[in-house]
Amino acid sequence: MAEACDIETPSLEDLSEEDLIAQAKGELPYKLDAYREILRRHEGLVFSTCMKMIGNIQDAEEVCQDTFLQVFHKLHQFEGRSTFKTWLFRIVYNYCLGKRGALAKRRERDEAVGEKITQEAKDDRDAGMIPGAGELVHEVMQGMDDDERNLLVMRFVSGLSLAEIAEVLDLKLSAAKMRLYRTLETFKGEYTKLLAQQETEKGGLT
Amino acid sequence: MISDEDYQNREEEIGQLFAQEPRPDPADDVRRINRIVERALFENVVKDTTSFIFSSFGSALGGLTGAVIGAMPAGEAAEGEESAGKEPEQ
Repeated sequence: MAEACDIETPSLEDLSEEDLIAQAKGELPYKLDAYREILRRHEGLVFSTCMKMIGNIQDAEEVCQDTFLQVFHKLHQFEGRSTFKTWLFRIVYNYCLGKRGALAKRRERDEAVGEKITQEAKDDRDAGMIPGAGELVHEVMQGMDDDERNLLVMRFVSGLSLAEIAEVLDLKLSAAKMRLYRTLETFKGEYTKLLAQQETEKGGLT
Repeated sequence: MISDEDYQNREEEIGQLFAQEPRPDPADDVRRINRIVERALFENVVKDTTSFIFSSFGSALGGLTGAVIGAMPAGEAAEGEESAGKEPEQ
């Protein structure tokens, strides 16, 4: 009897992903402890992904919030046929595409102030990020098309595996692999070109 | 056909470049998480209020109709019934 009393319920941090999701399903919408733990585990990564896909803090935060509100309202529909991460990032990906489409339309409409918006996006990016040595990576990414950029973001920012990317994009594994490999090749080519260009400029200055 | 080795080498190489990318400030995570929780609670309240209003709308309307009929003077109600059955005088 005394032994039975000694059994402690594991804290939320110690729960496996499956157990945490099951607990959140049981608690929502009136108790948010497990939901908060889901946020703690995934929000940072989702926000980084939104930042990279959209490019400015305000819209990235909005998409990130919308994503997790969708999780809040629809978690009971998650049946566990894929991993929670894949399910989550499918929502993220769709919201980001929707937001980017809306932003592109807005940009077309306000073409006169287009340059201002781009500058604001750059300032936001600088403000929200800890400065690092990856500026060149960002520059190369800007020059790539949307699909290529999304693939790179999913692989290296969201940290999805090739199989998870294939599932999010509804592709066969071999097709996803081929697409990602080509994108890596393009990225490498552009990166090398830009690096050489920068070094030539530096050499010219000295 | 891409060999696994080629693919992995290329992925590792580019992955290292991405590892140097600036990351969002972790101090901001808590602020953003609190905002999401606040919005979730708010949406919950709105949802509950809306469903309460709609579910009680029917019974409130029925109650109101009953009250109006009940409030009518008995004679007036009977008169209305009688006049409805009468033939018009010539």
